[in-house]
Amino acid sequence: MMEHVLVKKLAGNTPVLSGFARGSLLLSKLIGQAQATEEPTALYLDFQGVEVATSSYLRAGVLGFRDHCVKQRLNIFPVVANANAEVIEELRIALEGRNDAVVVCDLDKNGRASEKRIVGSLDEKQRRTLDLVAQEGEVDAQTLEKNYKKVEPIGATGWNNRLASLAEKALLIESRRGRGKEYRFVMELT
Amino acid sequence: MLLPSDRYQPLVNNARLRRIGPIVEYAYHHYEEAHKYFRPTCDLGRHFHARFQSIKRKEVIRDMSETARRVEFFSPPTTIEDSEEDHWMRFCRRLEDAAMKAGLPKEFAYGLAGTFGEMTSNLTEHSQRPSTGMVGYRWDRGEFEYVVADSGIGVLASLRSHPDFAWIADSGEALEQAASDGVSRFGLASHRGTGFRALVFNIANRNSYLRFRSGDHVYTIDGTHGFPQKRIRPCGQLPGLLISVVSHPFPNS
Repeated sequence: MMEHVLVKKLAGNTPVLSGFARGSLLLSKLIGQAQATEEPTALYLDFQGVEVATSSYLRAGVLGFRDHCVKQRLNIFPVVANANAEVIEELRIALEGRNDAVVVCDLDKNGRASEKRIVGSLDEKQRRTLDLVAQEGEVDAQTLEKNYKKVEPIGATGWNNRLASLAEKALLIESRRGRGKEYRFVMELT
Repeated sequence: MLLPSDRYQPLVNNARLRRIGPIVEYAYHHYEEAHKYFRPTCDLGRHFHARFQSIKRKEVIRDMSETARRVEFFSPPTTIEDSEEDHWMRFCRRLEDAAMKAGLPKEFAYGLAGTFGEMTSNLTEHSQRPSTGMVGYRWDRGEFEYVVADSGIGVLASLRSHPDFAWIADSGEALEQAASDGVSRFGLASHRGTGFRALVFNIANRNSYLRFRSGDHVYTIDGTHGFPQKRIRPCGQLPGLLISVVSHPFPNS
């Protein structure tokens, strides 16, 4: 099971990763290696040794792969690891205006994640929903409706839409519980 | 005032050329028949001319070295699949090395190499004639230069192919739009086109000069004298797109 990918190695061992074309090549290599897993699994895309990764590259490679994992229901949740400040800034640019975000962290030699955070530009409602799911642990739309009626007067359908939208960004893990769905924050996997 | 061609051709051909941007620009003016109009006599010009002809003949340079030459021209990838081809990747490493040898800080050298990658990727994706592409770099102590050129459809036709930008009137506006946020022929909703933004914002204010030429306009950003000065001017027709960047170490680096 693939849980850790050294992006620099996969991208031809160069410290500069740029352009939509090369990002598309990264995407095809990642797709070639990815296999669906039984249990939800974090996949660390480790940017150790990468000096520059441009927004076009990240959009095609990282966000493209994240979307692929969600659409194909691979149960793989990509997390950007060990990216330097410049790469994080380019990631922000790639996510700008899309109401989108990804999980970012540092990873030590033993594979322990730290400095976990969300990078991107989620709107206020989505950000609040993410915070509430993190607070609740595992939750469904009905529970959110019941527990937060006073602060957020929307029905279960509204909550469901918000939860599904965050799951499409691989920020929430969706699991079936009978006829309903429960969600938990992807950060739990890291 | 423009000189008639019988006056400027001898001037160009006899010039003692130091930078590669003007040479490539002149050659791409007459891409199909450059040999008729362009016979440079200086060393740099003759070196360029020989490489220009061999690149047009699709001759491949096999050089696995990662050490920069003083000046080098190369054929960029023509397909997405070629964009990690070994010889191309080594050329990109030599370009990074050249930027550092010129005295640019390591981070800035990598940043420039990143924007160079963006530009060549755009050439492959948008020019519709990637086989006409040519790239090059040159370094001297205190100055680094790179060029990306093609004889494709140009920025105006590329942007106008999407309804979001059908309103663009001329190449000057097209160049200006392409240098803004999120503008590419894939439309506004695609949120693509940020490669140009990286180029403009990260380079221009670091003691650099950028020149974009396409169709009948040229767009320059001069950051070599303090705050970057942008300028758009009409000029003679150049099919395709030419980008040249000249960078110097910043005063405190």
